[in-house]
Amino acid sequence: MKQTSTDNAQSASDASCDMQSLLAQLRQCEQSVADLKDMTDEDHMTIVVFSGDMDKVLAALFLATGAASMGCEVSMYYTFWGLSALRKKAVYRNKNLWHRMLAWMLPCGVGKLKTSKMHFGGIGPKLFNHLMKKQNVPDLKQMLELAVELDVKMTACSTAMNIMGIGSDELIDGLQIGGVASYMQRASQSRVNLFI
Amino acid sequence: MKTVELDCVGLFCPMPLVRIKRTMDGLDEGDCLKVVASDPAFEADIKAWTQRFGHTLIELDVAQQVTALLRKVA
Repeated sequence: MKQTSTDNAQSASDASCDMQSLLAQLRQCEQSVADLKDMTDEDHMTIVVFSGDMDKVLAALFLATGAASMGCEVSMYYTFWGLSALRKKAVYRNKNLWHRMLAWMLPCGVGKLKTSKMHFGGIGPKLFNHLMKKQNVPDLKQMLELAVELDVKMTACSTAMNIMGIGSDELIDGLQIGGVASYMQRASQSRVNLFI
Repeated sequence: MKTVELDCVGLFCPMPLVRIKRTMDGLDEGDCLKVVASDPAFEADIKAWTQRFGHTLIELDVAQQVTALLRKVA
């Protein structure tokens, strides 16, 4: 009889011990899940638009608008030649000779971009636009507007602007001016990162 | 519950998706959207799109044109 009650006490203490270790494991699991959630990438997409070629910028905008329609938050970072796509006018005032030359030579806006292949002194882009219109595909300007409408965040790289002497007054409205930190902040949370 | 029809014939990727997203955003839960498209990529695209948002793909008819019937979930 005495033996049995000791057994009972023993098994009760075993049970509470088991319960405590289970709870500890559960807490550990919860912590791990929370840690993993912190490390998981968000459903974002970042695109670096380095190229100022018409076809490449167009491809970047197709991807951006498509991804935005899939529910992704999309950010585009325009740098170096890509800045041409965002220009709205050429400014020559208060610039040195080289910057004035660049302002004159760089394409001014999406309508002036060259094709990466078969440019043929300006015939290439015209042919592209003709074919796109025939196929009911929006042109670059419309795609850029659509991207803005779909909340695609556009950022112009400040360093490239500085090197090339492009002021923010020369670029289209609604842009952010940013650097590597703002790109990295977004890129490190993005599952998809493209460089075009 | 209503069914809205959307004509995307002659449009190419990503335009059908842009239009579907816009139209779907304006619908209520349980409403249906019937889309007709001619883009060869549309069959694969619409499957991926519905799966991503968790909507129901009730019917997918692939003939010369692709017709998809979707039901909005939440």
